Amino acid sequence: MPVEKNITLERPSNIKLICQFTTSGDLNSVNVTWRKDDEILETNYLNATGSILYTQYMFTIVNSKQMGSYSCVFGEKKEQRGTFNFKVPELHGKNKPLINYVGDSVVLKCKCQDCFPLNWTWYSSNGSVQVPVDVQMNDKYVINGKNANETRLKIMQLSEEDRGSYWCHAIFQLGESEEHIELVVLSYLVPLKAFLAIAAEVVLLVAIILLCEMYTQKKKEHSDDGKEFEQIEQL
Amino acid sequence: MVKKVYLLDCLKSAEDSLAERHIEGIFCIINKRSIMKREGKAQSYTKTLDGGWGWMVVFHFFLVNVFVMGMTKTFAIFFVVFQEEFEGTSEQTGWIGSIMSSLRFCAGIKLAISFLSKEKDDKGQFQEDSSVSHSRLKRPLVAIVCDITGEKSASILAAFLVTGGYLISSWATSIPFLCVTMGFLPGLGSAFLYQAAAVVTTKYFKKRLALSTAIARSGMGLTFLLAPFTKVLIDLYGWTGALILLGAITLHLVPSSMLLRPIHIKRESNSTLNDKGSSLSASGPETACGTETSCCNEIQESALRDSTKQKAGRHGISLTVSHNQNEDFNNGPNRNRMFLKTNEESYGKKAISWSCKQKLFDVSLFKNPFFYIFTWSFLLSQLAYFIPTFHLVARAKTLGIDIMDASYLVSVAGITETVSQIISGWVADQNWIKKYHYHKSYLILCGITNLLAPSATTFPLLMTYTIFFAIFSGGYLALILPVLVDLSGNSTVHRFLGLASFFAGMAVLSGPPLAGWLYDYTQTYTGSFYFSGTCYLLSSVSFFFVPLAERWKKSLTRKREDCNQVRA
Repeated sequence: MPVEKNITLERPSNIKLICQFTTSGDLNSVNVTWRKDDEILETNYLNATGSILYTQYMFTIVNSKQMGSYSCVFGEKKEQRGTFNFKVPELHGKNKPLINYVGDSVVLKCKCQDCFPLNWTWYSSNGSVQVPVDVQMNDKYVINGKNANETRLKIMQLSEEDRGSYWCHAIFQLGESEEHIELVVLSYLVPLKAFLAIAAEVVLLVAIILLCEMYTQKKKEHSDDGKEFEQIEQL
Repeated sequence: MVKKVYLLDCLKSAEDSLAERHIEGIFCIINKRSIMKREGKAQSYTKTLDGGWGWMVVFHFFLVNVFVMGMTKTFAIFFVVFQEEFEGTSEQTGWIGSIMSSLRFCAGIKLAISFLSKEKDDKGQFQEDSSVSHSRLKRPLVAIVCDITGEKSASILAAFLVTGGYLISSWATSIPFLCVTMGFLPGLGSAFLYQAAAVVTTKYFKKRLALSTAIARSGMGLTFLLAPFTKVLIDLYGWTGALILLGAITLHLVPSSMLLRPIHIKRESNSTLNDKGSSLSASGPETACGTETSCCNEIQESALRDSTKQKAGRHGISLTVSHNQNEDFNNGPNRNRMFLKTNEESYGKKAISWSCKQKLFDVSLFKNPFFYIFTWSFLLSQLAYFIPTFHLVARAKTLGIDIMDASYLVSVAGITETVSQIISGWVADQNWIKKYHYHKSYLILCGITNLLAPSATTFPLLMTYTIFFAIFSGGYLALILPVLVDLSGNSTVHRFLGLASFFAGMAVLSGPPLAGWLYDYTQTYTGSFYFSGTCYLLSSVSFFFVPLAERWKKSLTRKREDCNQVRA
């Protein structure tokens, strides 16, 4: 059964990884290796006490190339592994698409929990190619963020071409993290048509009820005229 | 005496120039005409229908419940959306919801005020101020609207108000804007809608009032469908489009308001006999009018000819008598008879309206002990009702119950409450014992259930609590309106409901914040259940005073009758 641990790392740090292996058999025959993505590393430290094999690997992570999966492997034929996964912090965006209308302005938000990226960048994509958002157009795009751990892209004067996927990238010293936000731009006619349809149905109902009322009124007047004549005759 | 004054009004105009006389007379007529037209259109029956067209009224009330309650529940979804969009605090955004809910109750006060300024007679129609030309500036604006329009039109206007509120909210730019357009306008509109529908239901139903109210209230059970529907709308069209479409859907209340046909219940009681008797004595001055204000006569009769046709059947007795007396002054048998007919009717009403026209603000309601009994119980029970509803899911969460199971609790509660309302309504209508006894026992049982609630710590126990609470609360909710009708004695239902709702609205406004404060103070939800249990028990206490109040009232009416006999 593989043993894994996920570690979120933002800044360059000194790392110490420890693996403990318990077996009933002969400890000296167990081969211990440390690997990074299947690349064998130099083992620093090995200790065997009783039935527990104790190994340790120390190193420093400085750049993004050093991020990845580090594993301690015990044995050669029957491998027992413990894996440490190093990742940059993940971003929180929105799961649901943002729906806006033509002419409105929208704010796309990207937030990072308990982390402080060096820089934020925004890209828009139609399809697979990511194109950076042109921030020079000041009356269209404005990027700002209240805190270091969030960024906002404000898009003004929305039009139908603005719809699609937007990506926010958070740049750390140790790598990049990205998040995807979907933007949908509708024209006002879409809900308006539905509204007019329902309003027309309501007007129809009102007309039907008015007609029914006029019909019953006429019937009543005819019957009442009859009654009045009766009264006159009685008198 | 009273009739003379009314006549003198018309006669006064006779002293002025011919043109002025015409104008004053026309004014007299136009206002008379609006009332008579409404009365003319009203169906007249000798006793309450308890069925027939009444079921259409129940249907409308049902729809009102669905939309009005649905608005409150869907607001919770919009709450999240608005908070994100406008970046307000929970408190600010929450104000929109509380304004909407509390106005639904408080705005009843406006209708209450409008009806306080004039008496409503047994026939359930509004009285026109006879000397409107003199005092029309004195009356409040709202009263004028209700005067001219009546329940059906007030309901239609209110439906437009709600729809308009939603439509304008779709252009909202900030939270205070939303407070007005989504809190104030729909709240006001729904208050008018609810009040109008409730009162028309009480007019149409007497024996089956509890059952019909319960069926109408079952509309609240359907609101659980409205919430996912709103979510779908927001996903498809965004909150702007969702508000526009919700406005369109509430527009359906306009055709259903047109189902509120006015109804005229003619009660065979002593009052009507007195009217007939007094009209005979008034035929003296009538004859004077017949000679001096012939044009007043003419204008009146021509304008009212159509409406008199409806009344042809009802005044056979008085007709013959007055006809005999006026033979000398007959311009023609038809004309005078019609004039007398309409006057006889209007005299009956004028008698009551004139005597009460003197009081612009009728405080008799505050002297009514039943009013205090009902308002006390209504206020406390409404306050106590909202707290478990809000905190049930939160309590389930703190006990470690999964949110899916917790929402299951809520839907079970809704369905059980609906079913229990209908059953309780049917049981109450069988009239085995007086309705307020049922109401009292349901409130006590609700209180006991809530006091035992904190001991429900597992999911099955919580489910048991939810079911019992739903049964008992459904029971008492169905009986609010019938008990009100019983206590108020039919003639003052509008005022009663309006004022009682006003006080209840204050309670509703303070309910959620109070519950939140309780939680913050005790850091547990058991406090809120204890609080609501005590409130329910306290609210049932006032009903123990009903026999006492009835005895007091009987002694009062006996004193009045003695006085009247002495006078006569």
